[in-house]
Amino acid sequence: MLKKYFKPWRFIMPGLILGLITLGVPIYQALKNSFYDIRLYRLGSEFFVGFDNYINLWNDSIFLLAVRVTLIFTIGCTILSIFFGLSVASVLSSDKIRGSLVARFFMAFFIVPFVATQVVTGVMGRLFIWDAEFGLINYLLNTIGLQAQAWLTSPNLALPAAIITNSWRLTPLALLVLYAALATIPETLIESAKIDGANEIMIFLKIKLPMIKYHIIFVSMILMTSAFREFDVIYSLTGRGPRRATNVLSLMVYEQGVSVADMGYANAIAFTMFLIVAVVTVIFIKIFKLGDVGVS
Amino acid sequence: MKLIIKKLKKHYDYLIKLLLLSIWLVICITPILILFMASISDTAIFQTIPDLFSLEGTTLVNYRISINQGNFFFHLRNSLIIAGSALALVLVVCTPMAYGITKLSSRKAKSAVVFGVLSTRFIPYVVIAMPLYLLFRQMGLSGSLPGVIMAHLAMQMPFIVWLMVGFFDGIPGEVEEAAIIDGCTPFQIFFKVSLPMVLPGLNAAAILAFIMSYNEFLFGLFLAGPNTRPLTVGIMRFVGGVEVGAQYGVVAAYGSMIVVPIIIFALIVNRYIVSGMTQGAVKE
Amino acid sequence: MINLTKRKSILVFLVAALVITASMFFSTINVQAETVTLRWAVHPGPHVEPFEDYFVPKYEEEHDVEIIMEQLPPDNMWQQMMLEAQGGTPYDMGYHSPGWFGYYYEHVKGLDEYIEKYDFDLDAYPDSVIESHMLHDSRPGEIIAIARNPQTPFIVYREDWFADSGEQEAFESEYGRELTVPETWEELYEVAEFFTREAGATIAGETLENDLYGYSASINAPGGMARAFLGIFYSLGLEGFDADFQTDLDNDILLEGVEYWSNLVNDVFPAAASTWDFLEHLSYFRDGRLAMAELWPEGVLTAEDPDGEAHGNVGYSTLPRWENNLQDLPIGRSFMGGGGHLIFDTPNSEEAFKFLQWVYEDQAIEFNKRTAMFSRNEHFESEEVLGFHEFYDDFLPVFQEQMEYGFARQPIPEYGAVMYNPSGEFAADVVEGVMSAEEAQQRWIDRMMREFEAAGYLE
Repeated sequence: MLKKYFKPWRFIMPGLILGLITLGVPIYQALKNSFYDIRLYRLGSEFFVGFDNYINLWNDSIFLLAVRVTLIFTIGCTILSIFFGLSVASVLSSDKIRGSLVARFFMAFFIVPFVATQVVTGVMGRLFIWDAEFGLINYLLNTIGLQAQAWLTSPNLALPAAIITNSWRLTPLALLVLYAALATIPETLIESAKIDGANEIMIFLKIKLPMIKYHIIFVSMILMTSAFREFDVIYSLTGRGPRRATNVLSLMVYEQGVSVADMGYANAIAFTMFLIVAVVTVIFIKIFKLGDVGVS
Repeated sequence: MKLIIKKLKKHYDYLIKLLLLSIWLVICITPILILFMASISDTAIFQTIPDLFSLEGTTLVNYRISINQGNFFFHLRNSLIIAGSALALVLVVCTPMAYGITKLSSRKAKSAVVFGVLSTRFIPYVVIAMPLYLLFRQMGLSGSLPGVIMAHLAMQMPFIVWLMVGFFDGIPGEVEEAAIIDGCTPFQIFFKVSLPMVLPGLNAAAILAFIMSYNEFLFGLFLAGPNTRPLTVGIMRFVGGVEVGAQYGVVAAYGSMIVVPIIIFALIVNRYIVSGMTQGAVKE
Repeated sequence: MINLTKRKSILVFLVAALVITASMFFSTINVQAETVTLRWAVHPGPHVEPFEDYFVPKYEEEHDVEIIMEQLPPDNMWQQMMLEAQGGTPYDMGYHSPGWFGYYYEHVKGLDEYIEKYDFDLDAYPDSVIESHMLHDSRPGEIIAIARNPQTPFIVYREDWFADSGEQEAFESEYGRELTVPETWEELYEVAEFFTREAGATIAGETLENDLYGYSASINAPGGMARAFLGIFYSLGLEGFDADFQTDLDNDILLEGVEYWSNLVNDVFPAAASTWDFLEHLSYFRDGRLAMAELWPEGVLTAEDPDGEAHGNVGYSTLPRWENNLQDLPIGRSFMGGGGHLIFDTPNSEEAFKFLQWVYEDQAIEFNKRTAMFSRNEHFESEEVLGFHEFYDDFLPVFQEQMEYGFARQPIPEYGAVMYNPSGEFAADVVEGVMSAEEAQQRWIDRMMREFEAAGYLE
């Protein structure tokens, strides 16, 4: 009743309209463009082709390859980031450390990978980390006696390298959220479990993990969508990669639109990406009932 | 005796944990460190890792090259203008919108709007960039600042709205109700009461929005023109050249100049970033 | 608590404002108040330094003009030129390559009016040069570029290693024939294979510090790979399409050619070659890590670098021929490449033309001296020019012989989209094992047909 006083829609409207314009118009345009044959070097002579772009898409072995690569990349990044995020978060949130000055000190630096400019991260990785002759990784491998690899030029290693690089960048997201979640588990609960004879691992698996299950799912969703649309890091790290190993969908859109100059086709891929994301999001939200987020 | 062992074990545990955290810290920092060390190395001799860290042959020539040939300050100006303008626009648009969402009385409506905002968070940027390039060309907005800002708004809006909704939700209702009794209009309440109470959240949103816009690449590639091209696109010009490994030092210098300031900035305001990124994710 | 946060926020915003103002101040230092600023899209190469260090500063001194060279890798360069031209913010000057011209042909300024106005002497250029690099079918009858260096690739090799008796003996015992500079692609494969050795092995009596490779080009996908593979493609005697836009890509010889190329690349090229854009492989040759290399003439200064290991031992040879090629070509051939300068239709086009005229008419001899680039009659005929570099004695005859065979691309706007770009994709996909040669061939044909249909050439 009191809430009606606030006339909420007056506040929402400007933003909503702008949102519809800045987000809705491009998506609508992407859809529209995908039904035309548009050549970037001959703009102004578009012609209608109906579903041809989409038909070619589904018959295109490279598109299917791109879908596969994107899938592997997305899932790989998510798993890796959560793994490291969770590991570091659980150390950070352990009882002597959580909330302390020490924790704040470490946390400040743990943000760095997320804040570092993506293209610089990619370039850094390409020239200094994964380089076959001078890179950090090969240097470390040689130091411990293992064989150096040609990471970014090997068809089998390029994608793992890209996944690791992007996970490095995304881990802070998982880390922060899971730390916050773990830090709110009351210490008393853990103490009483210890008194009951549980060791660290059992506490982790049986008490902590279930309590933060929701947060893990939530962070997974954020990570997956971030990795799914990743462009900057891959573009600057490997491009499409040896044997197209890192030819993710967003790269393919760029390549088809600019290098091949087939804008209609590129828009078709872009819109398909949008559909994939929309469908998966809806499924995710329905399954995990995440629509209640933000509703207090 | 047992007590001493227990105490030792506790310290031992603590030290092990510090060690683990330090390892991760090293993992986080080392790449940036290498980048910086490479930037002050002589670019003509490509360095192995141990060479990089020795201070022999320290030189600033890479910085000079990247500033002159890379037109660094020009691109920096563009990056800052884009990030600053985007930040301003995003805050002005999204904050009231988030406020309004929290004040929706119908649970269903609120759910629907939040759902809508949340789902737009996942749109790949290429889906926006590609059509906008063609659209702006028709509208004569190619390469213009307003065009780029518009794209940045699209990029930031879902996240910032959702973020501010979380902060606004945390305001105790009593203060606002008191303001109603005092006879304030909804807008006055928003401006004079609610907004000051979420100032930390506003800071977090501003900082995150600025960082995200500053780091943005794709829109800068497609939609920015010769007068608006940001740093992120500027660096790509040095990657790839005539000589194998020739430009490593220059790229490192350019990259360092892009990344080090933003990292220092993030370290200083890290409290806000942390609160911003965890906000709303942790619901009791 | 709130006051503290407020103060901090104000502080943050103040700092931000200060930084923005400071950077705006700094950026104005860079951009002096000149009358005219020319934006120029260039790609990396030995020609860049002479422009940056000599020609541009000299011209800027004497004229009220600022010239900003924006250097981009070749593929990115034409894409950026296209994006900006189509987007309405074109460069003032750009690199002209006949194969890429179609991507932005509508936005290029026809130069005939300036040629007349400033009395630019077209007769200074051989007719063949004018035809291949200064005219284009998409702009009939107009001069659309000033030629800089028409070129077509051939081979460089290490004379000393071929002449070494130890190597000759070893080759003969392994392959049953004399070690000669390869005249066919098959021979090239054998020689390249022979010379591909790991670090620690010997070459001409010396022990190798690094791995040695027999042959290389710069083959990043798709641009570099296209540039290199078209040397095989045109040697096969194929042409891509004829005057009626009928294709010959379905010929089996294309499959033969790409299978050969795939073996060559995978057996004999350095792994890093797939990351190289254009001329990087020549620095490998200069450093003694390649026995032979594809030479784009504009890279000759790199190969002949006085500080390089190859210096003094550089041999030149025409491109190997493909046995049983479709057109009975006596030597191999690639496309007529290299380029010139085009000027986009901007308000600065006249100033841009004046700059180019100065470089090519006033500074013609100096230009060849510093860049070793040939375009004008005087470059080929002047005694002074021929004395500039010792290697001209060996280099020029091969250069000119190869030029007779360079395939002048059929200058339709779609050339890049149907030949240049897809040939690189085709070769890369087969070489890397992404798909079979037949599948890749079909993709290329489909793409070409689609482009021709979209352009209205086919019914």
